[in-house]
Amino acid sequence: MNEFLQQLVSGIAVGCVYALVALGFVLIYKATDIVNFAHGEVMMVGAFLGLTFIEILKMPYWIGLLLAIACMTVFGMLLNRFLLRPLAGQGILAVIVVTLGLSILLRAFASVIWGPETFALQTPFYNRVVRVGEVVLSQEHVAIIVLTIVLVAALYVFFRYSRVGIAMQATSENQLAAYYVGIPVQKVHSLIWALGAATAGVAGIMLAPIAFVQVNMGYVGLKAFPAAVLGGFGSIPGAIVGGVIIGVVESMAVLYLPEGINNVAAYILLLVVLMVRPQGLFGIQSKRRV
Amino acid sequence: MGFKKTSLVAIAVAATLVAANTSAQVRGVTKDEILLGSHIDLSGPIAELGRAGVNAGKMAEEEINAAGGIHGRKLRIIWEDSGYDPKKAVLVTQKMIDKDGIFALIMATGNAPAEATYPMLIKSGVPNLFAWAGSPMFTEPLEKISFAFFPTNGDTMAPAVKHFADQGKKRFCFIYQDDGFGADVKEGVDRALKAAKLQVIEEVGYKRGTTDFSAQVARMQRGNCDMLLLGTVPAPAAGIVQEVRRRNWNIPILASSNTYDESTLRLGKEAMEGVHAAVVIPNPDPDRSSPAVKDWLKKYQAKYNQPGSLYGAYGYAIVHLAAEGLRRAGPNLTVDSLVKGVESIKGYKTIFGGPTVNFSDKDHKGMRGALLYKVEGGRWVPEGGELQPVQ
Repeated sequence: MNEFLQQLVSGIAVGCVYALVALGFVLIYKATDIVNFAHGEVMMVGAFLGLTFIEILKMPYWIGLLLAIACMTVFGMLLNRFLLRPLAGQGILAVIVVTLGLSILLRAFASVIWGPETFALQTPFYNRVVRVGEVVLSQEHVAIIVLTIVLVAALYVFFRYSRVGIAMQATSENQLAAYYVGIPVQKVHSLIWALGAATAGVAGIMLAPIAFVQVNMGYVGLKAFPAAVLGGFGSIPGAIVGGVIIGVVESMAVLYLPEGINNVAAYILLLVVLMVRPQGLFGIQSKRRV
Repeated sequence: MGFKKTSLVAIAVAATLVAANTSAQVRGVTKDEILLGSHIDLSGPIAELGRAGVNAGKMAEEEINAAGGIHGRKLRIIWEDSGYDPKKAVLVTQKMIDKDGIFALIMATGNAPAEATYPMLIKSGVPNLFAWAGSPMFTEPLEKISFAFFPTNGDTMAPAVKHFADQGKKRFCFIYQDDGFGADVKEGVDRALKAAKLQVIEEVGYKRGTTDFSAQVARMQRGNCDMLLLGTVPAPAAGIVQEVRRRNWNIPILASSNTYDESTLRLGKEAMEGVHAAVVIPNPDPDRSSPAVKDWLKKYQAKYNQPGSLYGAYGYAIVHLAAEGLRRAGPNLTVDSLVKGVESIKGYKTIFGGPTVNFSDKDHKGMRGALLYKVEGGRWVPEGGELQPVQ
């Protein structure tokens, strides 16, 4: 039972990282209709920025984290302004090629700037544990879960109550209508990218103590993307739940399923869900009257 | 059509001429020179390794020539860049065989490029000497003109596993990377445990790019093992060891040779204390090495203005081993005499230490034993002497 609980917590923690990256996918997709295939790499850039501030410039962890997030918001806006906005009105294929190209480019740049080695990022939670009765939990895992909850709650309040948040919601519902009622759609897109990049940055820095910082860490996107699909691409709670489910299934599968199946369990689950509910867990099926 | 036919005839004629020519004189060997070739990564993912290897290889070449060469012939090595790309390796090797006319290819670097060029060497009768790659392809099945230097990952892991089994460890658990490399280590683990009449209690693979190892470690913990084996590269090894120590699990850990790297220590920090690793050639350490290695480090630093590394040690050792084989081949150098010369190498040691190099007409594997190292005070330190190979 203890083993199960311990594994559940670590599965949820890793799932939270998937969830935050998936959240970025969904935010950007909902508002701008762009699937950003480079989102895992955006996360990687965030982790490297965290590394730069915390390990290289020796800043305290929390200040480094905040600075990295600030840089990521600017980075997200720049990406939108110079790479995605010029693509407005182009076909879906152009967008896919550009974002895939961006992912290669970001990996190459990271390799040039920071080098191809793997780096460790020291955190205040390094190698500490929390004991709850018999269960031993890693502080890193607990911290990830707490941070994710705080972040998601903040995002909820932001979307529900702030003017900008409501404008973003309106834009993602219907761009044209939003434009007609006077919402500056381009500015909102810019903010959405900033938000997406910032959450990815947080995910990257949280992932760093368990997975280290390296050029290929963006492949987490390959887990986050199914998480977003599982939740119903386009649903924010769906992305969070999808991420946590994939994390937990992965972790339990390694522990309880025979060798070989464990690595694909999460994808099998995804296929089953999509067969039963093609719109995903939280997706709304759009029906058209014929 | 007509053109194609004529060109075919021309090629045939040329081939006959070349054949007639080589029968009179050995390709790549003149009165005063032996021409060797190498393909190595100077621009790709392992360029750091390649550059250090070539630097040190050139150093060895100069030393050999300064001492009068080999039976009066100077050694000349062509170093070609493969970029760690099998296609490019094939192109440069074709050029070295056809245009430069090398006597033998030495130090073909990287598993994939070296495996790609192997068939053409055998077909053209160009000896494949001491590839810097752990592929079993070069010696299994035995090929007359191919000699390995670098042991397979399994060959290095097996003696270390056997060592701990002999010390009384009975319940081995094993985490490995789920790819060709991990399978290679697994082969060594299975071989050693079979020799000790044991088997792995619990094993689990992980995919490259796995982020969190807590589930793998939890599964191992369930196996109630008394030794944990790792078939890993540095970053996952550090991640797994940290996870094990975080759980206050005080199990002894033995990792495969790729883990023997400074980066594992940098990433794993104090969690790495006490971890053992199977080692092929030890890092040339300026503080504890033999006088010969200290001297080598000094020379390397003076020549290239950067510290000599383990990669340099490999390059240097391979060129000197090739020279040893050529020397033993005698003044009348042919492919046959070279094969006999290399096969007569027994009990050879590189200046850097590492397992003894032995060849025979039945075994072209070179190194089979291993060394054992352990992390102590944040550094890798040797534990005891050479471990015997496991057949």
